[in-house]
Amino acid sequence: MKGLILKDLLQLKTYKKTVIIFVLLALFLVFCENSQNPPIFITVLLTFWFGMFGIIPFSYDEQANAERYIQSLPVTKKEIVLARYIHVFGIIIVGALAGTILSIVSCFATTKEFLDIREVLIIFSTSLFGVSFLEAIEVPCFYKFGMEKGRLTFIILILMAVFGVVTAATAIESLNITYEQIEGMMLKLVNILPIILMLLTFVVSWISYKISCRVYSKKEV
Amino acid sequence: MENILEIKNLSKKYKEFELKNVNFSLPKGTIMGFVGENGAGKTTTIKAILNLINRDSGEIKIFGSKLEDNEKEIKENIGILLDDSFLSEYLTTIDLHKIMKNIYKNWDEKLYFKYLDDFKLPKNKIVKDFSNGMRMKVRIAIALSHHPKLLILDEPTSGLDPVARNEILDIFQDFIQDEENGILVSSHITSDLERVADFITFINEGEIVFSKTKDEILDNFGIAKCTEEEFKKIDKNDFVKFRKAKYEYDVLIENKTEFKKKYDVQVIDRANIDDIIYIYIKGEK
Repeated sequence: MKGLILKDLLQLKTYKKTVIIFVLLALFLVFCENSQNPPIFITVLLTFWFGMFGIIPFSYDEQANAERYIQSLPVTKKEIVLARYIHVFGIIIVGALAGTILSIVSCFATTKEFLDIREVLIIFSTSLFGVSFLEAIEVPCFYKFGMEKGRLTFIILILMAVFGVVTAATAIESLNITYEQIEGMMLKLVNILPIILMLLTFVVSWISYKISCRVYSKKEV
Repeated sequence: MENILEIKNLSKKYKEFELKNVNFSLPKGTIMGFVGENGAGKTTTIKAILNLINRDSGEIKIFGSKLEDNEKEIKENIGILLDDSFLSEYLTTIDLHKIMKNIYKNWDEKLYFKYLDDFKLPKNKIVKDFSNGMRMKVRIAIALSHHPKLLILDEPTSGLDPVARNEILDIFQDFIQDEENGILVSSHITSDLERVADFITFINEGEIVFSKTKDEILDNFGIAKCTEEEFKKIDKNDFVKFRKAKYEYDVLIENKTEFKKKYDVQVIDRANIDDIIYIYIKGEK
């Protein structure tokens, strides 16, 4: 399994320069921003970008028609899926950490103040959860339908999710709950929100992994 | 002779193709050529051997054990070369070494780099920049560098020049010298098989036509060149198939000696594997 994780990482070598350019671009955007605002978006942006890099090995494998060869190696189907999940979600964590460090550093560089630790944790866990949630839907779609059809299925699922959120928001509005009340509830949760989000990230990724294993075990190559 | 690979009654049905009751075995210390036209069922059989598809029925034993009982352990001892499937070409030969070192327990670093040197393969260039022949050599080096006992090769010499092909065929012959290893090689280059194979298994439309020793095939099969009158005298049971050429009939026969005793046909040519496949597929009965 270690070999498969290494394979995915080594394939990303060709993106070394792109990653550096993206990080520099993110930093540039931070310094162009109003220095009074904490550079939250750098964490979100880098987590999202790294998340996109994480799924690149799917394309490489599809291009090389590698599935058949990989399954011929002394690795089980579960190990193949697990290796991919460790890679994809590992890269997301690296992206979220890199983004968080950069936002702390850039905040200090521009305001000479450190970000509040609670704020840092919330930004980190929200970015991590958001991108992990997207990938948790996307990865089983790739296993089931391949890259091209998988992306299309992913977009349909996301549109359905957006529709669901909009419907829920409308329902909340009809219950006469004000945004101030929601904000109040969120403030009460502020201390445990990062833990809840990180737990949710783990749960969502685990469910996604289980679905992918099921899909992949039935797949004939 | 003990078998390194045994396939019994293997069947697999798809919408438009069916593998029907495939049976053959590969004894230790031998090379088996697996031949047939495109779409005959060679790749499907190889997929079934490697447990890449769910078979409908049948049993496959490798090193005396069922693959599904001990898949990981068995695959540690198989060297694979698949015609149309490999890892990304954006990796270098060094990258491939790093990956395989962490996949195969018996990965032999020295042997791998020896093959790279012997094949004159660069170490820091991505495989994408290699010629077709060089890419094939990388796959062969990987298939051999973990000291496998069984090699399953799908078109290993395609894209190679004659010098490289001979070089590779010599390696395959060395590989089976210890009488413990075996090679199943699917190839369209039948001259290569005639050079190195001990057995030839011919598959057509998902069915095994024959699985015999190469010598048995080359010594016994023949093509009788008959006139129309001569052909009319031949009993249907005494030939495999025939092709009507412009001025004569090419009749594929399975036993030249018996045929000569029975019929007065002047010319009986030696049939090579290509001739047998061609007349069998295109001929009539």
